[in-house]
Amino acid sequence: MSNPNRALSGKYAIVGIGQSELGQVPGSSSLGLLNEAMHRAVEDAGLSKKDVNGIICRGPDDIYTHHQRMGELLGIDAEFSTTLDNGGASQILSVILAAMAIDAGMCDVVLCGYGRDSWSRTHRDTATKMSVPLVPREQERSEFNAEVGMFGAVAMHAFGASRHMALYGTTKDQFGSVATAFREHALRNPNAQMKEPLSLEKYHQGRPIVDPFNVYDCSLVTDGAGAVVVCSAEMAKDLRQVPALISGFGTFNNLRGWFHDEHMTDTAARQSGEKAFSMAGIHPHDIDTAQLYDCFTYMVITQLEDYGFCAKGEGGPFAASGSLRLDGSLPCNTSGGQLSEGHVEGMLQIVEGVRQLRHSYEPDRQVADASWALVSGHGGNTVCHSSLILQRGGA
Amino acid sequence: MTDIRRPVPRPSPETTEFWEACRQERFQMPQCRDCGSFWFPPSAFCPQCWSLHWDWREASGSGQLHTFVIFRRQYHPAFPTPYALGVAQLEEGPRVLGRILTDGLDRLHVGLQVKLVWDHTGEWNIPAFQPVYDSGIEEPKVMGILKKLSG
Repeated sequence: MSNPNRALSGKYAIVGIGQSELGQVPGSSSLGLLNEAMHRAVEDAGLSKKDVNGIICRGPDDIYTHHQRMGELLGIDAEFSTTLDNGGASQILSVILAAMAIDAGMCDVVLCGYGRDSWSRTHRDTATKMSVPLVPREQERSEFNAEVGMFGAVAMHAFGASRHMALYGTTKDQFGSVATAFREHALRNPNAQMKEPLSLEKYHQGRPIVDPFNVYDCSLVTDGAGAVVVCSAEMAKDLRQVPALISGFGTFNNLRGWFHDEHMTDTAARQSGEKAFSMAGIHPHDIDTAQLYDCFTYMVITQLEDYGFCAKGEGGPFAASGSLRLDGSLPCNTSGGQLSEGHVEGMLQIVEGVRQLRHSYEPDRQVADASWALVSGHGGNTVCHSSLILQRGGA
Repeated sequence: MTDIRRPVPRPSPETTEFWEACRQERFQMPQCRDCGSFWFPPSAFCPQCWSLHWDWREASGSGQLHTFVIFRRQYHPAFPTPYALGVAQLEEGPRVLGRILTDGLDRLHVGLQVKLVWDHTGEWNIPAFQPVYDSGIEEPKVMGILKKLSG
């Protein structure tokens, strides 16, 4: 297996972050929300439009050449720009690709972002709720799929959860401990979509969707966008924010599919994480906060194992012991994650990782002395993974 | 207008023959002449060794559940809930997604022995699975893999 070039560790940084209005934003458009988030990210960095010469982004799958649409709205002709197609793994990949592109001399300042209007699309009225699929029908598998009754990402991930429970004795209580920990974090976040407390009792009463998942195991349907600005660590020295240095990154994609080997219980997070830790020259126990891609509670459990925070099969007990809470050994998804803050395909997890490293918050939301953050991205028919290790810069 | 017709497969050139065989209730999949491996879904060459030389082989129809889920929320009007979907590991190797046709949803478990059956829907025969205990055959007590991994 190859490893990312350690010479790039700490050479590039996230210097600006932004997010749009989040949650249920009636009448919003994904492009408009991302435009707002990108504008804020550039402002946050203390840069202006003329400094940006790269755009890497993603939005709903039915928007052709998405980056062109963003460049048009932002009024930017880019030296390097593209749209990514790795599902939820795309957003970290955009940061990785930004560093690679700058290193190759293709551009200097890259705006990365993701925006969606999923809530508005599916809740415009009662009729749309059932009839508007988030993935356009033409892009779905045309056979070995709907004709057997297979629909959607919930069932795909539930297959993994079901097998993990059988192999390792993982329980619904343990899935519930992920949901309740992240909800507790969301209650501290005024922008979070979920405002009500979630107890384990209430979790168990959740509306069943696809066993073993109920509604509280599933991430939210959200309108929202997030964006970050990437440039060299050298350039970051002259900018206004404490930089989040891109210390390690990795990707791995089990393209043969979720049903092959043990891909659903031993995910691509393992190889992706190994690459990122190797590049950063640190170990899982050095991480102060993890922002994990939580499309479903189960995905957090397996990633805790795959990243080496605990042994394979021990993710359930690890989560249930309270480790993921703000006062736990690995504060995780400290803004509420996609289960409770809002599902912006992992982009807000990058934003939150940077905020924690900047020490942006009052003590009730801040991971004390956070200097290392791990951020993960997962998606693309459940098998693509990307990892990012960020370090607080400017010390 | 809600379309309650069941979704049908839209075969590709590589899978047309597979679906034709299904009409005669034969589940066939490619086996490589060079490396001997089976694969599914059917495609133009062996994904294991890239050999272009392969033959259609009829599956024994015997397998075990790699994993399963139970749909509780209704996603499509043609699929009333609850119903179970499984990923069955066929004894030839490939894993196949299909409905588990059974009245005993609460008796399903990973490792359960299943056999291939046919879900007849209009002009299509869709491969599905049935727990072997539904056919009156005793299921093995504990699957080896579960014993090993949970022990």
